[in-house]
Amino acid sequence: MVEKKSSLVKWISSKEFISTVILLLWVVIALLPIVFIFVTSIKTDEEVYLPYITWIPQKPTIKPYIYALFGESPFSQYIMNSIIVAGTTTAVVIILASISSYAFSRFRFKGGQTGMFAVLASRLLPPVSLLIPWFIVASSLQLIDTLQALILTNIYMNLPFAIWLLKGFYDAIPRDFDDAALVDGCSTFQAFRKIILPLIGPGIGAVAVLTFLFSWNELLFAITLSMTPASRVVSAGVYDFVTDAFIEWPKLCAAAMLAVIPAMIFVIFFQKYLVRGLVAGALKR
Amino acid sequence: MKIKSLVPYLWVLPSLAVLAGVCLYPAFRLFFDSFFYIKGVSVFVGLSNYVAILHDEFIPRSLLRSAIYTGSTTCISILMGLALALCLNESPLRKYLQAAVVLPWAVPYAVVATAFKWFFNDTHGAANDILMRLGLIHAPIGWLFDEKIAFLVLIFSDAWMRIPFAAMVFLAGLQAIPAELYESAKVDGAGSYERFRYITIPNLKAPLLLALLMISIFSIRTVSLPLALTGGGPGEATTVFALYLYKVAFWFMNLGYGATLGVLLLFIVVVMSLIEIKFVKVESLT
Repeated sequence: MVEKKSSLVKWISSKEFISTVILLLWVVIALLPIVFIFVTSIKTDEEVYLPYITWIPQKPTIKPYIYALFGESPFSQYIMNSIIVAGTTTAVVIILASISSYAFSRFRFKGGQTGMFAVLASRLLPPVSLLIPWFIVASSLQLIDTLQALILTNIYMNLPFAIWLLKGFYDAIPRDFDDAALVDGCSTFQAFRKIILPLIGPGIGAVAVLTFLFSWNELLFAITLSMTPASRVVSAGVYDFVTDAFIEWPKLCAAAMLAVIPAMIFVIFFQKYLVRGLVAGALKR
Repeated sequence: MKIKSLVPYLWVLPSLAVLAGVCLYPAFRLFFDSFFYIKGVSVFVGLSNYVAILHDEFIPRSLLRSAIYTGSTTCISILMGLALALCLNESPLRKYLQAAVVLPWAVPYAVVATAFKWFFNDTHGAANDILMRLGLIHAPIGWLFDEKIAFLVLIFSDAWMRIPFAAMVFLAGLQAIPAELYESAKVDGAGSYERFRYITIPNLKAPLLLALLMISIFSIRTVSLPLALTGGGPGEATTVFALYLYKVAFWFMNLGYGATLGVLLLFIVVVMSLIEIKFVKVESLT
């Protein structure tokens, strides 16, 4: 009996137990704002504006979602725009970065180091600063209010990061692999495409997940370079709702839940790539 | 691999050409435009935008706000991130809890603003409801209508989405520490506090520098969150420097002066990161 009690005390005071309790507490508190918008997004108007708060909706409804998707500001169209912008950006960034990072990792050439440094240093440029020349140039090229402008700005924000990230993945693969392929009669490009590229699958995955997510979430350029629903993306649509003088909360919360779907999917299913990309490169030096 | 020809340049050309167009050229234009008055028409004004900076009374006020905002959000994120990373490193449920810890980092700014604006709504928000049910307050607080409290809510919501980043960086750092170090220290008779103090902490310097750099660079240039959460208000209470820049350029359409402020922000970011790198390096030598 005494033995049992002491093992219980030992278990409760163990690092594993205390850490888990702290984490559970944190998660409950930290996710409360998100839970609150989810709860609101399935409530009726009357219930939202009650003088007290119901954490479990009395009459759950999907009307706010229908309203957000197909109402006056059609999120169904914004979602399509977001998919086009984020998808195209991701494809372009992967193709460009996978090729140039290979060269930065494998070839020694004049200006190579400088080029890599410039790529890295470009991340110091504050996007809000570059937004001004972007706006001026896009106006003169008549790119305002087009999806092309948003794709180009997202490439600017993600390509340097992707090159840096993928170079780390290439560096981790021994050069013997390239050499063996060359000895077997592959050209440099064949060695890259057939032998090395398949080996950095996790790197490509990390770049894909992060670039898509960053492009989907991007707000500043999306609200400044777009004027009409034709080029409005999801994040900008949510911004329009939340900065409205009169906010319709259930509709806004439904729109916000739609906007957070990719984040949820990536965090739950592609967490490995996400976290790996998040910290990769960072800890090597 | 030694290649003498132009081949390597062909490999990097597509990326660099694209970056020259979408990044280098706009950066060059930023400096160029800062010498112009641009509001519909474009007129060369020499250094007068830079002179105007010296007389702009909004700049010191908004810079002070940026300093407090960036400083607090960076400190909170690093401390909380480190605590969460230590817990995640010990917890047997790490696989499941990590996803929940990471989630806020992946949430779009527009949704963060929505979530906090609604959570801290004065009449229907959850914050007042919870605090009143717990008996901690007796009357609802107008969170976003009070200058000081609104600024705190801004810092809090910013830290909320940056803590996961710090946690992941520290967790990766913790996992990179070889287990043998701890075992040999244990054999030598070091207690758990000594092991933490003399093994864990010194080995976390690289992640600390990374978290410090990234979080401070990202929060000092953040426009989206204050813009969507408070629009800079009430009054100008949450107008940090980056937001002031945005308003000058895109609300008042004073693009030339905006570009000058943009150059100033770039300069501040570069100086800040150089100081941080130097500070952490010097500290890690001693």
